[in-house]
Amino acid sequence: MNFGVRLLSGITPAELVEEFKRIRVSPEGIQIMKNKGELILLRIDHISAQAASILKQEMLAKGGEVALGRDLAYLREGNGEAVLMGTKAQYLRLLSILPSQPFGLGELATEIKRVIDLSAQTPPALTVKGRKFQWGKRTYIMGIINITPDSFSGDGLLNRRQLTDFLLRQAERFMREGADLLDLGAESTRPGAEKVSAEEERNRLLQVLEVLVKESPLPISIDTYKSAVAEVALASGADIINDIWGLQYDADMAKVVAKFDAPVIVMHNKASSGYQDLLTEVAEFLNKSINLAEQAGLAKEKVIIDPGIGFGKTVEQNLTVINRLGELKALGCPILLGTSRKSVVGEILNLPVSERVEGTAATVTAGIMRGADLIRVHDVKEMSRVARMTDAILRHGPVRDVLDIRA
Amino acid sequence: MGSNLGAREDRLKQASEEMSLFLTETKYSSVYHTEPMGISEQPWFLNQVCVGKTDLYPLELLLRMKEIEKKLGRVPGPRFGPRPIDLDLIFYDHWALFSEMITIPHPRYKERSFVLRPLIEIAPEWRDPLTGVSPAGYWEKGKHGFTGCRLY
Repeated sequence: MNFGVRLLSGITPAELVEEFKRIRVSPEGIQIMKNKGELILLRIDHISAQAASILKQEMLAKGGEVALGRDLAYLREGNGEAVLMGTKAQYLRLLSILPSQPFGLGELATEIKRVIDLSAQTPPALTVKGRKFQWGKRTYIMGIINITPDSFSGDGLLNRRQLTDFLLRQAERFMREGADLLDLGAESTRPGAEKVSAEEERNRLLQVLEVLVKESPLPISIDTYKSAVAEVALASGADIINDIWGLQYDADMAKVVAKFDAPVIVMHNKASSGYQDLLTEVAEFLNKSINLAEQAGLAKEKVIIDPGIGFGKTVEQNLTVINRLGELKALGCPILLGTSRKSVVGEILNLPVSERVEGTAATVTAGIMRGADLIRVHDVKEMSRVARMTDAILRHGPVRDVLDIRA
Repeated sequence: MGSNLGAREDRLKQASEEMSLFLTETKYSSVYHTEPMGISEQPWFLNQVCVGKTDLYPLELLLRMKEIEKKLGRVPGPRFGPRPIDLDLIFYDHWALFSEMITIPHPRYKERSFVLRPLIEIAPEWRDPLTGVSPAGYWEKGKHGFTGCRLY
């Protein structure tokens, strides 16, 4: 007899429910079984041996499993890490009995529930300059506008008018090509580029900012990690701050963004590429950034996280971060991915900066499939198309609205 | 509980004393005389089964039992070789755990007459959580093979 056996793949929990309905499972059956079709692999960074032992046995009794390091398990003291494995249904049953157990297992249950719930949700929508960003609906595009000397090819300094006109035209072109917001940077963050003083950076920015704010309908983000620059920029009408040090370089930055109630993009950064555990450390850094913002009085909905591709990471580490981007969803913020023309692309394809469009496109698609909500790019026309096509595959159905003007 | 070395009855008694620290409402089966499996040229075993209640989780229980084995002088040696005292956890209520650190019910209990006979004696109402079969049921299936097991 031909049973017609086939594997289901790339299927979301919602699609699984549709599949149940298609084969006419009863409504009660669907309720009970939908959680049995969702496998959750969960990582715990710190747990005591006593708690780990009980956790393992309780999870085993429900049909799941907990992997523990041999030392943690058999020495029965100290702290260590664990990996939980099970269906969502098994986790829910585990969560119902953990609160009655000692060794902090009640608090662990709360944390596990929070992480599971967060991963299934999309962050709340964000409105900036009258434009509503409905995370999850589609991928949003951030166009990079550079006002650093190395973005101009040795023609000498352009005067203020020419510079402003040039950038305004670039902004208009980006908007036509599908950008949803602009990122303005006055200090190059390329490795080896010269640092500029806050003064110099502020001057370059202010020259163009006033005009851009007035003439461009797109929200404007300022790429700076200096609070003095951010303050002046926000006072001049900029909308967002994009901090490559995630509020952790300048102690006043959190206060400044909170004062203006401005959305902030916090990026993971590190001086070296030595990690005990890459994803854990990136997540912890970003979590700290989120906490700094909230403590200063900024609502969590206004924080966007960026894993910092190309900053303090080797080529392999960059690739890993892109591939495991989904693990950052548990932080509960929209995710921005910036890979445009970066050396991770250059190294893999062995191509110069001017030849990295296709490689960048691959990182954009991979990033979106893994959970990116926003992409930061130089080649707006090309990447806008890449994102729209990827969205059609991932989010089912072509996305027609490129501009959402009304909030 | 099994012992085939030295003062076997004493060791069984010592083991039950040690276990009384974490086992309550205990019931002990009669002691059985068993032919050694595998390596011959060994003394016959004395086997006994104990049923009780505990506050410990299965893994903790197992680890405490291994501690008692060490305390009463078991040294690692060939499998099925002589041993002063051997303590195995056969079942833990209706739990079925299968992992690298613990497997319950004990994977081989249903093939061992020296486990089944005492179980029938003191826990006839217990059912294997994976199959629903009772100790008597497994005795009837006859997989336990050798008959060298009789009352001591």
